[in-house]
Amino acid sequence: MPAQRCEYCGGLGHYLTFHEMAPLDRYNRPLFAYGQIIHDQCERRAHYDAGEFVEEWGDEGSRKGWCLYKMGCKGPDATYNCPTVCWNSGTSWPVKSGHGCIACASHRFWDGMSPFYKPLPKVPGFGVDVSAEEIGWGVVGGVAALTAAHAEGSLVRPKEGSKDALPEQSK
Amino acid sequence: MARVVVDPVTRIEGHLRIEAQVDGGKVSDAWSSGTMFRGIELIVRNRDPREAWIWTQRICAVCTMVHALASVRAVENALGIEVPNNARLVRNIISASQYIQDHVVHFYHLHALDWVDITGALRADPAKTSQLAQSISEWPKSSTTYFKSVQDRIRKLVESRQLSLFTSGYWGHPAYRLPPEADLMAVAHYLEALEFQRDFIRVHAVLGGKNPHLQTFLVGGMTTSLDVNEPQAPLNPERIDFLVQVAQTAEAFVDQVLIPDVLAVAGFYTDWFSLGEGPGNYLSYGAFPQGSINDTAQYFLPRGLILNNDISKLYPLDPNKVAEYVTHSWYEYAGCDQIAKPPAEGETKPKYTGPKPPYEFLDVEQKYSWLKAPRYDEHVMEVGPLSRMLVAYAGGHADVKVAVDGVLAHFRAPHRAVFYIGAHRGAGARNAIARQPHRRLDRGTARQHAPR
Repeated sequence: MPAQRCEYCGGLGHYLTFHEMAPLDRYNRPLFAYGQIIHDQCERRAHYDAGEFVEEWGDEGSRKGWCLYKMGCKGPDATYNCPTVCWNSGTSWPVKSGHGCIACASHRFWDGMSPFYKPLPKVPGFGVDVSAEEIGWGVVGGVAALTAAHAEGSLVRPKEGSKDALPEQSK
Repeated sequence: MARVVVDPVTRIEGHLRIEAQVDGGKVSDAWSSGTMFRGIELIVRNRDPREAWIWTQRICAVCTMVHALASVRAVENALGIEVPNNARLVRNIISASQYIQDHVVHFYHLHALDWVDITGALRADPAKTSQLAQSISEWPKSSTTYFKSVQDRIRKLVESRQLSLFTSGYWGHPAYRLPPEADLMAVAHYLEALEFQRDFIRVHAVLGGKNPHLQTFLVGGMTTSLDVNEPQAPLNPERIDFLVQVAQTAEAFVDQVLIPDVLAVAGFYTDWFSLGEGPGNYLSYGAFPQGSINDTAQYFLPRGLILNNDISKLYPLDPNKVAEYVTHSWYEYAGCDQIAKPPAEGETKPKYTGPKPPYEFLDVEQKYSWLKAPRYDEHVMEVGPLSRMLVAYAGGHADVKVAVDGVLAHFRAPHRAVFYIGAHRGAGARNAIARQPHRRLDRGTARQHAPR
């Protein structure tokens, strides 16, 4: 999937203005685009929290815009800005048009995200309004697990030359 | 005698090398080589068939959605699934929109620079350009001031010596024949077309989630549920109204910019109406089912094939007659490399036996391409926009006949020229025809307003 034009322009604009790269994640992607998990930006998140899921394509939930987790959405595991910026001049993105995220901008998405229609296992931080039994999960997600998932996607690269710099940053 | 090599061929999508034998200034023989192996048919093996379309779509992001559509249809065909009527309508509109956007992009951004000299625009008289533009179209962006501003923009680019997307052209070559005013008009429309295609493809964003690589396909239908009462439904009155508005803008651009430009440019290159003929056989699977996918007789654009340039006879298409040769391709077939295999028994075992780069020429007596060679009943068949138009013409499609006969009459060209005028007129005609599903959207929407 080609990157959004705002990344190219934003990245260049940042460099031309401040003479340094915008803060990057561990994969050298700008945080202003990849710094958040899609699940945390999704307009259907309230339905996830309330335990309202699409169960079958074309059902009542699909017409009401309910959460696509059970249809395989990889939003909890994807980092990009699709829900915020949308595609094609802010028109839509896959979830808004009814299909789950496939994490197509993620590192090694081909090898890591298929099967695309199988729900992600044990996504922590499930619905705040309902209990685990009501939405069919037997696992209580921990805050620590959620934090770890966030950290995985948003590790900030320390500035070059600092004591926290990773070895590969030195030229 | 000389051997000319063009590698890579530019302003296409894909990886193509052409070698041509030139004798006395004429091409006496030529070979095309696909220079990249993808292996997507191997990648989808042993994966869930419901997601095959996600992988195959990544064959190409310019012809996005077509491989996804073919893929879900293949799985649906294997499983005997018919999609709901709404899904059929959405797929038809997505396809038609792809034709429209793609043909605009192809004419202006891929092909036009073969006919239009960017630097010619610098010699144009903006006032005469305005007169030319207004003589062929009602398109309102046609004032002297406007064309002068475009000319200034191009001049600034050329004087900067960084030609940007116009780098590496044959600017000033005598083979360019347009008067400077036509060059300037075409360059202005080239730039307008960049914006047009960006704005128009929002149709795909609504119906497909995004472009490129639409993501609302499903084996069995589409995810774009429609509900007139739900603000969060993928399709509701607000989204549909948006689609209608975008479609209307497209109609104006195609009618008033693309088609007049194609006719204007073609008018200066009429000797090309007798160059570039293909093998004379044309094949189309047809498009835009109006009911069951299996009822091919009802497709809006018909299915069939033409042989030996005889458009008085449309033959029925039997997919079982398609087979692929690897005689000159870098693949091995179990047993024997010299036979053709139908796709249902296909094998894709890559084996490169070509020269080690860097090399001067391919050995065209041996294997020389990553592309297999498909044949229909042992015939070489041309496919694409021209084929679709000719098959529709031969099939008696009223709108196509009017469009094609109109163009031939415009140029006072013989009937045979229809085989050469080629993709552009085909594309233009298809654009005109492809707007029909958008009109059907209105009527279809009215029928679909009743809640499911």
